[in-house]
Amino acid sequence: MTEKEPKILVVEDDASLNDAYKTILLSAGYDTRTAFNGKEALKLAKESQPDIIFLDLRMPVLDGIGFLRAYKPKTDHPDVKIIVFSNYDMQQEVDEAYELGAERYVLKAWASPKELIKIVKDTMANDQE
Amino acid sequence: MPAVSYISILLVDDDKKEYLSTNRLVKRVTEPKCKLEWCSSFEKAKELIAQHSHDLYMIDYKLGEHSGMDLLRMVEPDKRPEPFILLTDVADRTIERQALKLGASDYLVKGAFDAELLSNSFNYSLGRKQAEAQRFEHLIELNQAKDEFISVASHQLRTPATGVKQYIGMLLDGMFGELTPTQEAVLLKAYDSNERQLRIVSDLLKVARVDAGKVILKEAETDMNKLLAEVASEESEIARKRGQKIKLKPASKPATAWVDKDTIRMVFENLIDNASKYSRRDTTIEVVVRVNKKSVVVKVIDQGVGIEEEDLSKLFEKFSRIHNPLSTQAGGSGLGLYWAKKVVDLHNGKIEVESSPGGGTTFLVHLPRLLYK
Repeated sequence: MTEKEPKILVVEDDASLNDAYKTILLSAGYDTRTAFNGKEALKLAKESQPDIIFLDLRMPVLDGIGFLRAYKPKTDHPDVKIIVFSNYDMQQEVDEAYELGAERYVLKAWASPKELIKIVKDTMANDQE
Repeated sequence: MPAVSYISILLVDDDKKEYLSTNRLVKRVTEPKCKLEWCSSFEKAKELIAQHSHDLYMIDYKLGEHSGMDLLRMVEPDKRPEPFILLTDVADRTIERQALKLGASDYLVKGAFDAELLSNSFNYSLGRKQAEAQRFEHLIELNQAKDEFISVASHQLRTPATGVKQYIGMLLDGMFGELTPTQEAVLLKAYDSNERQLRIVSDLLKVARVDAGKVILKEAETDMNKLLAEVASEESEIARKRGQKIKLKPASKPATAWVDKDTIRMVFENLIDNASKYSRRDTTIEVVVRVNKKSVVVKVIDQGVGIEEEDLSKLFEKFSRIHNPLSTQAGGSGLGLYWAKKVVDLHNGKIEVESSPGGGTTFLVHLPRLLYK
């Protein structure tokens, strides 16, 4: 079975977490880039054409919801899987992200490195079904 | 609300003459402009007051077989936006003190007041209520600020703890080389400790949400036999690691309750997890589902260390930590049962506990079968 390795974009404003996710995903062999806010993410997404985006919601400059509004996953990028990755479990915010085209919401505090990699694998497996 | 150009007052007095003489005085009160209405029956007055019929109430001390005090006791003026003034035939300090204690704004002796005194009393009573309302509003604002602070602070605490989880997790996953058994054991302790911190933050957020009245239940018909089977199966994994078993005894008939599935699931995860934490190895936790006429009753029965009688009442309090032989290693936040009781109450359900030291503990959760109206 030839499985295409996904290209991943991590959007996370906390430097320490940004670095951790990059290290974990790179060590698992994924082509991973990182942005620190929604604006940077829009630029990087255009350049690198990711398959999966891990998106934090609360960020400076342009937040996750603002990113989704500009990126328009539903109409402009239907093949890109967006995983909302936030520690703010505010239902309203999460609902809004889903409405704007996010595929899944994961509480950041819940995901260990192993679980992070499992999310990537599950997302790709679902995509191939 | 339409603009009111006068203050509407209800006089509750069983004597028509009193009404006529008071009305003569009220008509001479110009500041504020008032309109007096009269009610002679205790029962009718109760009804009108319940409907917030007037802006101010004057209550006679003697109301046939009742007393004006009975009425004050029933309507609880403290919890109402309208002021109450008690009227008596003779000056009596004891009655005055009692009336004010029951929440009356003022106290007047019949025959001893003129239009000016009446005007002063009305203004004082209305002003006092307004000040109370402002103070109350301020308290609500303070409380909201506190809820907001807990929410923001808790969310902020999650980020660094999430970082710790990633870095220790990477070490434990062998990303930076193989670990010696001692290194692994130490890192596991750090990882577990951090997990506990994350759980406490989650509990704080859950409690802050329920305290702020922000829990919105999405109730639906829920098969409790099925839900408990799922929870028991999930929790069996953790219990097995502690050398314990979970035994489910479903109800023989359909056990459909009207609940928010996700919230009630967390309640039972919490109760079963507690049962396991406070039990030793080689014990069994029983989960029994029964259907009553109006409710589905779920019992979580453990053979654990039990609870002292004097601690039972503290169990559902916020941050209650009860000492028992397993409490130091159990490491809870003291918020789980407080939250569980709050959300079961929100469902119009009931949570009860039976326990004795060394004799195990049983939690009973009653959940409504039908839509509560």
